[in-house]
Parts: sequence; structure tokens; C-alpha cells
Amino acid sequence: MKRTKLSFFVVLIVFSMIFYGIFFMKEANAMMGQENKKAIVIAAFGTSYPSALKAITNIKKQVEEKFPGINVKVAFTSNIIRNIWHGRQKDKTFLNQYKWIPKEILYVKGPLATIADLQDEGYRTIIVQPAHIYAGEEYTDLNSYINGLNMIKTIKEKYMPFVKLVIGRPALGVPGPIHDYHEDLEAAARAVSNDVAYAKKNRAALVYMGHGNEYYSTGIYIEFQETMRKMYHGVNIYVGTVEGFPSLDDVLTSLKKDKVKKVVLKPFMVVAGDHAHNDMAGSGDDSWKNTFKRAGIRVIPVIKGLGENYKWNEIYIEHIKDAAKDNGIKL
Amino acid sequence: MKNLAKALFVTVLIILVLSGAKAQADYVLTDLGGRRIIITHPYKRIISLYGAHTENLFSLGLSDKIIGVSRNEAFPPEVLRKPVFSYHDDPEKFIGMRPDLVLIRPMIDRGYKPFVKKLEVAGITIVSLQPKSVTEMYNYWRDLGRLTGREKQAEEMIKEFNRRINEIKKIVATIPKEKRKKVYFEAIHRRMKTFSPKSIAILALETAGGINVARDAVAVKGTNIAFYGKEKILSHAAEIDVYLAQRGAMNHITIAKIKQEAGYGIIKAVRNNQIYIIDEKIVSRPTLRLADGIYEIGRILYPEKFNDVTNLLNIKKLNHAQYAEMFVKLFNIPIKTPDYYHDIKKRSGRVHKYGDFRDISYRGNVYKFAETMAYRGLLYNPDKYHFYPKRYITRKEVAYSFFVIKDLPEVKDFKIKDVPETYSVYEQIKTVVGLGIMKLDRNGLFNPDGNVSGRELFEMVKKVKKLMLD
Repeated sequence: MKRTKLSFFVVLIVFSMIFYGIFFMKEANAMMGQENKKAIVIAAFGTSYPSALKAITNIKKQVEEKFPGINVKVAFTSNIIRNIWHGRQKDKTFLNQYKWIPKEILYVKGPLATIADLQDEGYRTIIVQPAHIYAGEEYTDLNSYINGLNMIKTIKEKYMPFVKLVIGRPALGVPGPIHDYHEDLEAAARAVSNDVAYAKKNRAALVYMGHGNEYYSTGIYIEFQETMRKMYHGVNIYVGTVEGFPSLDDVLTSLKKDKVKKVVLKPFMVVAGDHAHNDMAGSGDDSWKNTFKRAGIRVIPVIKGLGENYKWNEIYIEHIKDAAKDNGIKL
Repeated sequence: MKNLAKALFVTVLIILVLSGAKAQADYVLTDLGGRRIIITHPYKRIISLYGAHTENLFSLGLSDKIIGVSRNEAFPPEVLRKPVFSYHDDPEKFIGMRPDLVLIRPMIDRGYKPFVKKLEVAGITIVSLQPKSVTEMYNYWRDLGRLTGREKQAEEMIKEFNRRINEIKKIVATIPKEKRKKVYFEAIHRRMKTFSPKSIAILALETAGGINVARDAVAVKGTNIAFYGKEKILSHAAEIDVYLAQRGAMNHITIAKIKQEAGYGIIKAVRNNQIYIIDEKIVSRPTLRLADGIYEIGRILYPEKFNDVTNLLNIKKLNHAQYAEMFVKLFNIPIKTPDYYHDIKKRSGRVHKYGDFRDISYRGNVYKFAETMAYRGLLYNPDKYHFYPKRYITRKEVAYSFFVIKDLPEVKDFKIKDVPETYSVYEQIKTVVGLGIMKLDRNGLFNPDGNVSGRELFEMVKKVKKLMLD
């Protein structure tokens, strides 16, 4: 009897030790080092058009396929567009009609909240890849967010929110010696070979309508135009912007000078949204299409965003790889 | 002497009675804020804080009595030159301008009480008006007339409006009842609201021969807007021939957005591409332009009836004004209405802006067609300030317009004797000749500066349309 009692206590003590041991070890683990999982955030302006959404979901899909096992999130920088999607969360008829729209888009957040959520879930190595064209206003702002978060310095090293939070460069690159932006321009020009071929097939010139910006020099667009011209022969190529240089007027002047009679007109933007529908192909006298037609130039508008071209999205994948390599992140 | 005194007494008495009678003739107006305004003299320094009031004051010929208007007003174009005021401003800004009348509407009365009170304390007469039906609209115009001493002009406005409505009714009367189209008229897309069945907008729709499918809509208290909801709209899906939406400050809408609205795929009008957008300012505002709005709805619903050009067919040489009317009607191009002030400002200073034409009147009909042509880029070599309404239209101008309005197919190169390849509209002329839309004369000449008759234009447009259908 005594022996049984004793052995019972021994067993109890052993079990408790094992139990507490596991428990304490886990606690200690958690306190000593936080989890460190890896994630990629694709930051885009966003679009409210379900038809244009595939440009963005395509990028995500391609990135996921390229980096299996890594959590890939989409963030929209536009407040208005996020609100539109949030408003559709409970709209049954909408959801029925657009069953394919991922939940992630309906609940899409801005880059700050997306990064914070990931951090909360133990993702402390994050690459933010902008789905932007060039390092203009939007990219600069996003970069500023990332820099701000990287300013956080906790008293104890182990409580630092991020192990690595880094940003990839936009399609046409960034200034600086690390990645020569001329090479980015060439890669971008190579990615749009299909557009050149389409123009050629139609015996038309190719006109790209970029977004541009009033506050930045948009010379990169004209440099891209020259890169295209050097790469492709037999097709006249023009790049203009909605805001900034070269303007619609500049493009028209060149078209007239070159006696162009027909153009394929396509947005040089990731998503074919409002700008493509209105500024580019609208019926107003000041739309790009109407302006060309008034000069006796036929127009074949193509309302497709660059994100619908898988070759274009591979540029972003390369830039994610570069960001990882430059910062010693293994993907 | 006694007689003289008696005569004097009688005279004084008569004068007194007469002046008393005059005092009685002072009109007492009760506004929507419950104010009793005794009108003893016409008001002469008026600030209007509602676009419809302003437009009506202009229609009454009071341009020089208007010293301030609300933000975003754009019609008539003269309004762009008036100082802008808002109920968000400091009341001192108003008081400093010494207005004797500030015209508001109930929304301002309800939402900005302290502001209104301060103006009243400063001795400024405030009148709050906003009619909700057409009968009320007539009385409202009369009230504006009484306030400004323009009673006669107010009656003329009513007559003019009635004359135009009767013209429309005559057209509608020719459409058999069973061919009348059923319409859902959207007021606010986001909230799935329509107009209340007694509103001005629905009256506009019904006058134009449309049948409102949302007759059971319940008005939001005190407004012309009515709740409806998607389920109810969809319950009429199979019968909605035309989906009409107003566009304005409350409803930023596009055809694409309506098409993409979930569930709308089952609406007959959506399936058949019968979605139309109309400017809020011409369908729900109590101004003379409401008649334009009704006509536009008519053009949307029954284009073949409302785009009749019979009276222009026998004109030997069309001038610009006649050409614009015929072109806009034959291609059923929606009439361009002025945008809001900031949209007009946004346009480049080098190009024509709504209201810029100095050689046409912004009353009547010509300006509507002229501005529509200008804003669609259909005018050859456009001049910022001149439409040249009396100038004859030339063949090259017609070729130019056809090329812009439609995506005409390419044609092979060929020579035209009097149109060298270096000619500014060579491509356009070559295209219309190559496609058989316009013909060369016996000598192989195009005559780019030749004139065009009504009948000729009609036949050309017929060819263009047929070509685009094939």
C-alpha cells in the first residue's frame, strides 16, 4: 500500500514536471524570441472595377506561384477604393454575381494595416512590393511609411517588431547605383513586346498613356519611349502622360510630325480603370481617342492594364527577388 | 370757402383711400420657413444661395440685380462672373455686401439656423423657397416675380414653359399607349433611391411619355427622393425598358457602374444596353431648363419621334446652327449641359469652355446644339469664342464630323483632284469618299468648300449609320 502511494506520487511529480516543462519552455521560447515568418505585401493603388481587378489578382497569383509557402497579401493605398470594397462585403447580390472575387479584396486594407496585421501574426520579415510604374509620388509615400516603421527601436532587441521590413523597387526602377534603372527600362520594354506586335499587325503606331505626376519630373516616360524605340523597329512608339510630360499635346505633335494615320492606344498603367475608360477612350473632346481622331488619326483603343500581361508581372517578381537578396532574406 | 374746404377734404380723403388701397396691394408672401414677407418694393440687391433661384432670376431678366450666387453655379454662363457666396461663409461677408434679399431654400434654413438668424438680425430679408411640384413651380416663379417687380416676366416664363410642354405633349400623343416605355428613374445609386411619385423629376419622365415603374415608392420626409431598394428594383427587372439615372452632386454615376451593379444583370434595360444618364440640373430643378430635361428624356425614350428633322430637310444651304441641330438629332447625341463650375474651370484656358461662345444667345435652342458639338470635338477648326451660327457649313466640315463621331473603316489611297494629300482633312475626306458617304462631282472634284443641303446631310447620315451597322 505504502509503495503504491509512493509510486503514485513519483508518477504525479514526473508528469507535472513534464507538463510544466513543456509549458515553461514554450513560455520561455516566446519571451526570448518572437516568431519570424516571412511575407510579401503587394501594394497597389487599387481599383473598384471588378473587370479591372484581375490585373492585381494576377500579380498576386504569379507571386504566390513563384514563392510557395510564403504568405502573400494585397494592400490598396486608396482609401476611397478600400471603402467601396468594404461596402460590398455584405451585399449578397454582388457577392453572388462576383463569386470569384477573393475575400481578401473585400476586406482589403491599406499597407500600414496589412503590415501591422502580419506583424501581429508573427510575420516579422516582410517585403513590400509596390505594383507601381515608376518611383513617383505614390512610391515615395509608400517608402516613407516603411522608413517610418523601421524607425521603431525598442529598448530590448528581442521586442523589435520587425526583423526585416523592406521595399522592392517599382517597375521602372529607382535612382541609385545598386540596380541600374536603365536595365529596368529595358526589362520593361521587353515585357510589352505583345503590344508592339499588336500595333504592327494593325499597321498602326503604338501610343501608351501613362499616369505621370504634376509634382515630379516625368522624364522617365520619355526615356522609356526611347528604350522602346531602340528595341523595336518598324513601329512608331510614343509614350505620354495624363499628368505631366510628355502631355497629350506633345504626343499629338509628334504623331502629326511623323504623319501617323493609325494608332493602337493603350494605358501604360497596371490597372485599366477610370483613366482608361474616360481620359483615354471617353467620348469627350479632350479624351486621347477623340483628340487623335480630330487630327484624322484612327484609333484602336485597348482597355487592358499592364497587370493583365504576365510578362509585366514578372518584373515585380524579379524586384521581390532583388529586395530579398539585397537584404539577406531567403525566400 | 366752405366749398373749397370741402373739396380739399374730399381730395385728401380720396388720396388717403387710394394710398390705403395701395398699402393693401402690398403682397404678403409666406415662405417655407413660415416667414411673412410684406413686399413693399422690388428687391434690388439679391444674393441667391441656390442654383435654381439664380437661374430663374436670370430668366426674369434680373442680371444686374444679382450681387451674389452660390458655389458651383454655371448657368447661364453670365453667372460665372458673379461673386460667390456660401452659407459656410462668415455672415459678415454677406452683411458687408449690403444685400436687401438673400434667397435660400429649406435645407439651409434647417441646417444653418445661426447663420440665417445673423442675417435677419442685420435687417436682411431672407426668403426660403423650393417648389416640389409643377403647380408649386409656377407659384414659385410668380413669387420670385413679386419679390423683384417682374410679375409680367414671371407670367411669360410660365407661358413659355407651357408652350414647350405642349409641343412635347403633341409628340407624345402620337405614341400609342402600348408602346410607351417603362422606366426606372434612379435618384441616388448608392442607396437605391428613386424619386417620389409626385416629384418634378417623375413629372418630367411622365410628360416625356415614360411610365414610372416605381409608383409605389415612399418619399423620404419632406424631399422629392424616395426609398426603393434593390429588391424592389429587381422585382420589376423584366419590365424595365429603360434605366434612367440622374447625375449630379448627390449621384456620381456612370453607365459602367450601373452595368456592374450586382444583380442588375437580370434587368431588361441593362441586358439591352438601355441605360442612360441625365444631368440632375435639367430634370429636378424648378427652372425653364426643366423643359430641356423633359425633351431629353423624350429623345432617350423615343429617339425617332423626338429627333424629327423634317423642318430642316428642305433647307438648300445649311448654316452652322442648323447643321448642329440636325447632326445632334440624327446621331441622337445627348445634349451637353454645363458642368459644375469647378469642372469648367478645370478645362484648359486655351480651349472652348461652356458659355464661351459670344456670337450665340444662351437662351433658345441654338446654344444647346452648339455646345454639344463643341464638347464632342465635332467642330472643324473650332474657335474658342465663336460658333458662327449663320455661316454655311462646308463639305470638308461634314467629312470631319463623320470621322470623329464614328470609327469609320480604312479605305485604300486614291487621288482626289482638288484635295491634295497635304490637305488638313485629307484623311477624313478620302475616307468618306472611299466609303461612298460623300460623292465626287462629275469632274472628280470633292469641292471641300461647297455647301450642304438638309436633304443631302440626311442621306449622308443614313449611309454612315448603315455602314456602321454592317
